[in-house]
Amino acid sequence: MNKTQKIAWFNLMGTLLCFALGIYIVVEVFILRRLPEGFGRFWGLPAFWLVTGVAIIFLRKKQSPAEVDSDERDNFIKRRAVLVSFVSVWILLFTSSMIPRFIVGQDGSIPVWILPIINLGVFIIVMLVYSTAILVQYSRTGKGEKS
Amino acid sequence: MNRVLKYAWYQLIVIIAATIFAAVTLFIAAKYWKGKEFSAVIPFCLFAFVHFYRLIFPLKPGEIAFDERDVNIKNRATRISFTIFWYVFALSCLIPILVIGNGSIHVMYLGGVLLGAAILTRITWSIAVIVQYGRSSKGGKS
Repeated sequence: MNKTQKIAWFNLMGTLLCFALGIYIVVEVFILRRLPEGFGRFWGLPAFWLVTGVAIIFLRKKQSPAEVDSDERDNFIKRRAVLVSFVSVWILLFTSSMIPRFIVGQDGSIPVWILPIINLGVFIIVMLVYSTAILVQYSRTGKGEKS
Repeated sequence: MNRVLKYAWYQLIVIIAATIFAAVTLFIAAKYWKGKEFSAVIPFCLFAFVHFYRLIFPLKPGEIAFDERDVNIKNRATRISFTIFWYVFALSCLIPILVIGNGSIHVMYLGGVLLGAAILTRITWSIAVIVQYGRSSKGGKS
């Protein structure tokens, strides 16, 4: 597995962790209407540090001392993944601007705190798309799969 | 002039002209047309001209649409506009909290963010392409 693939895997794990954390907070605070207690208050922090720590160790470890950080093919794959995520941003932004209009109506208003949540949500989904696009492109060609 | 560079200039001029037209039309509609029926398509109709480039400037026989260098320039311009878009998008989501606090905002604000982001991305892309061609004199030749 090369460095680009490793970064994509850790991006994917990080964004899935953020997704899980977001769902947990929404369920606890907005559906069950209570604040998390005990380990539930801070489980996100050790999980985040665990993913970061494992990522640092694996990214520093190279297949061989002569291994390059990225070659022409990696750059091409990353460029294509950026384009895919760029398209996904527009779809998400369009969707997130239309849904509230259907819910509260044309002349309605939305709480201001929803805006950063939309921003964060779009960011997480775009990172998910970016990582998945990289991994899918590598899986189509066998070369990048070797560890 | 290179075809990609020509498209960048065309897009920049169309977007700026369409933005000015939309602003003037909305101002007139808000001031003199208040309370009467008004289609929202009218102020933004000029933006559609961005997609008419191939109709207005069709590819001539023997003309090359783009080469490897053009692709690199376009990709770099896309990355730059994507980065700037993220900063502006994050700021447009955070500024209302700082200004309004714990209040609410009109639902059309999100539509405004979408439109503003689209305009900004197009303008940034065009400028990034023009600047990159301007740095190397090759692209400037007609």
